[in-house]
Amino acid sequence: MKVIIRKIYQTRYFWSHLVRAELKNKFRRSKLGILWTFMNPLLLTALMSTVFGTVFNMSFADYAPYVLSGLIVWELISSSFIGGGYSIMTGEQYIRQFNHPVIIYTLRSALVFTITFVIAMLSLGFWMLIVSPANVILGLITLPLTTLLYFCLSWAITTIAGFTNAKYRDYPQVMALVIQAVWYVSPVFFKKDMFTTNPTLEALFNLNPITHILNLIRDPFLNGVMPTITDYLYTLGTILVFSLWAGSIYKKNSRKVIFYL
Amino acid sequence: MDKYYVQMENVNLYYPSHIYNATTLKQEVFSLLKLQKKKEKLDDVHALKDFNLYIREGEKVGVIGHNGAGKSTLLKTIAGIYPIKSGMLEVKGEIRSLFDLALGFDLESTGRENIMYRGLLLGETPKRIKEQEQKIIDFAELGEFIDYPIRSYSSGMLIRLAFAISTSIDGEILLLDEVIGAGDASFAVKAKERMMGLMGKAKILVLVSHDLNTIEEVCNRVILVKGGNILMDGEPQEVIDYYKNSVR
Repeated sequence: MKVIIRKIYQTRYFWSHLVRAELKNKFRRSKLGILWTFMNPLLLTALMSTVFGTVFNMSFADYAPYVLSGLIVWELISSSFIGGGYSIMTGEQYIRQFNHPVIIYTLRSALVFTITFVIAMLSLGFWMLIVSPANVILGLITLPLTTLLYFCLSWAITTIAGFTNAKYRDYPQVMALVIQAVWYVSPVFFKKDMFTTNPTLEALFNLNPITHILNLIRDPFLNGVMPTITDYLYTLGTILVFSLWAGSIYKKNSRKVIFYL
Repeated sequence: MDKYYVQMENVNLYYPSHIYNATTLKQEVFSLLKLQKKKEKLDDVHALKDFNLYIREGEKVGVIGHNGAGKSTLLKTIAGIYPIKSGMLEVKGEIRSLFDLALGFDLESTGRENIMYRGLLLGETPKRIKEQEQKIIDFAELGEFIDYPIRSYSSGMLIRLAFAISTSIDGEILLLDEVIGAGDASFAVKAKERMMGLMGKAKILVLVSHDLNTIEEVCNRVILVKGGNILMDGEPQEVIDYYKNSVR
């Protein structure tokens, strides 16, 4: 453990450069660059809120921030699961030549996803500044811890995804299906009262860690209250489970993974 | 005890067979449900067999042998890239490996950015790379092209840049795999000179090559590898002659 941390520290210039290069490439590819990361969720929100708002008969002003916050966090989660699958494979060339700890490549992906999340959060921040500025203060107070927790979660997930994808190349397709299924039982677009019609659904809703993970953003930014202890505990619990899982996969496969590339 | 050394005792390295039978999650699920027969199993490839080697400071070791004898595997094992199954491997000193020069370039970035990129990959700090940057550009003879994305480079330019970067940072234990010359005739001369300098500075050199002349010129010890084992180990002249005769 100590050795790994020291090695990660020693290679800090390298992986931080990978992060910067990937962000730069991401923004260089599209002409609008960084603006796109910012605009994309807003445009999607406008679309989704209009469609879903009409279908479920909800007011745009209430529903839009809900969708926006859901989208931003969901993007982080789904890209960790699916995009994270490529984290180790894209590092193949480096892994073949240097014995840097493999985990720095999943770290790179997790950092890219987290930074993208923070940029996207600006759009929610601006929105709430106009709608209810008081919430933004509480939002900003809770955001650093929330971001840290999200990062830890993302790193654990990208590590699991990266190793799994190195071994099983159909992982992204399978995972896309799984993630789609999870989406249907998660309150990304659906509001809580849509789940309360059926007791099984309601129980699932409350047990779903994503509900609580989302609350870390929604409670302060949308409702102007602190997230509950339950929300934090659920999030920490999820991080712990995924971290232990990631740790065991790493321990078993970190040296072997080169054979799968 | 030497200050710098490479020690291998009874090292065994296998390439696990399952890497050749690419598996997918679907196959895994199907075979779990017994719907699909498990594929015929290939045997693990035993790439290094009870390998014993000790290289001390000052030794410049040439590794020769036929294709598939285990030369590159040996190099990558010393570099700590391949995991060994059993035995002991100990390396004292900082390893610098040059396996495939052109690997790891980012085509969308400029030459200048790629200097930084590779330099960091090789374990340098940003500050030290900045200091070396101009020297690298001059050596690679890229001029103004350094600020173009390397997507636009010719293969010769790419190789020159790769060579210039990779050879600008020296190390204590140098591992080389068939990367002596690069580029056109005039550059090749320069490249060879530089390579010789780099190899001269290294405390330990392990060079894998099919170019027996270079091996003879550079190395003071040669090992002949066959079937994952050392067939012969000794003076360059002696081993190379033996190898040449066995080929004939």
